[in-house]
Amino acid sequence: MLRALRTAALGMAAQQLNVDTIANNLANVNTTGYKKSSIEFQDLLYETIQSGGAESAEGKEKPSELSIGMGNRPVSTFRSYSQGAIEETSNPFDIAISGKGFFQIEMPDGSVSYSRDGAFRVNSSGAMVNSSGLEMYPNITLPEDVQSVSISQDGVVSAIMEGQVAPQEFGQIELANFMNPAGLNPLGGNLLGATEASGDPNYGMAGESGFGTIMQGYLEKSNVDVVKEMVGLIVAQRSYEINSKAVKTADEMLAMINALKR
Amino acid sequence: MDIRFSGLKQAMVRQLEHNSVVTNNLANINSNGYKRDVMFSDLMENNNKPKIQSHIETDFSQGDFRQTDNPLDMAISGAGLFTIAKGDELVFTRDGHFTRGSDGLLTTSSGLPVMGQHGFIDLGAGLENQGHIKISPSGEIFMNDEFIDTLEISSFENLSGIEKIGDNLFKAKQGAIESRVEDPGILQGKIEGSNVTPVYEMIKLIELQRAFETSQKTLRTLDEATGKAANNIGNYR
Repeated sequence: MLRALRTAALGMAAQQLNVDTIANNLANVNTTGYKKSSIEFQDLLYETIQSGGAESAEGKEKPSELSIGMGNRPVSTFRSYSQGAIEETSNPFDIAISGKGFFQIEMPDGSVSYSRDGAFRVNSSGAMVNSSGLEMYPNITLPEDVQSVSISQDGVVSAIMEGQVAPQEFGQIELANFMNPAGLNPLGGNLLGATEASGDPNYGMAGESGFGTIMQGYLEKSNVDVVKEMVGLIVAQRSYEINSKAVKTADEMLAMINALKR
Repeated sequence: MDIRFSGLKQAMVRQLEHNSVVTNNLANINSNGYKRDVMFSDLMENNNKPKIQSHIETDFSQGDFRQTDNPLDMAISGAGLFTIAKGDELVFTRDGHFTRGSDGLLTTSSGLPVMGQHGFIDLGAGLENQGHIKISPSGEIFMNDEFIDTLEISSFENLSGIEKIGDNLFKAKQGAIESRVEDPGILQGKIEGSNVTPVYEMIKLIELQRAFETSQKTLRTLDEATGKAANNIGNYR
């Protein structure tokens, strides 16, 4: 009896996680470069009460066994790296990757993390930083007297200095990509860290084979589809409800067992 | 002991087990490629003693398809199961939520490699291979229009020849006859959901609860009668 109670409780817990994941997607519907995640479930082990092929009391072989499942468990949160909508902004340091690849961001401890969020700014010393103030890696620094900046499709940052006509190059944005981007570990702050599952990064310039191109003056929005998430939310809530009914049934049957003996 | 007690006890134990089966179906309402279990019970007479014989069968009917954005998500629209390597044995699944591992192999969400007709499916390491993946209805995998391998889709003469082992996987029982499905009708970018229909399971749950209640009431009536017999018969002198 307690088996059914536990199984239904696991079902409820799983749906709760499902709702958590959907809520996080919906909360990030306007987060630049956010990639939606979805949760995947698998069934748990089966408990065999009678094994198949065993002889019954009448000496006949049983056609199939009696094995009862123990519920389900969440197995992975799968992050979909499909392209988000690209929106025009007026900022020359807003850049979006159209296609594959990640910007590299230098963390305060010197390690490198990865991001699809291309909302860069220039800090007081002229370095290109993301909205949290972390520098792009490899660092690109612009001098003080810059008049206008242009970033080409392949990521070359050039600027026209005051009083000059010809643009001057200040570096090229290097992108990273992974065998299995779904294995990247979200670090918060729109940043992702490499893991064993994602594999080591491959580096390249925008426009090269395997990398997207860079678009200046645009930002990549999140790839969350609100309608899909809302439908997912309804499914999750109803699944939660039905599992709670199973808990109630198990409870009522337990009560009847208790009422057997007066 | 009254013989009817034994019959009722068996019935109640079976009803509880049946309830667990239905609850497990409900818990897996969102598990990819999950196939619902159905429990059958028969009353047998053995030397005038009641005996309830039960068995559980898996209903392999089609689950509904869910559209996803992932090119590595696949669903089988016909018969057959994906073949997965687990250690050195082959297991089977209808859960087509696959990813590319860091070593370039096509794997399940728990990291087990998916089998092609020529072994593991290597989607290639390195960036030049991160191309466009296309899967034909017959299971041929193409990357940038270059043929890689064909998915190994296994079928069984008798589907009761495979049993669930958890993690959305099935294992072949001894003596199960396996064959290759030639045209499985693979749908790319779709996942097969579970084939649990809430209304069937809810009705079963109600039925079971009432059946259990009936058994319980009968047992209590029987208990009262036995109690009367034990306590009052002595008074009739």
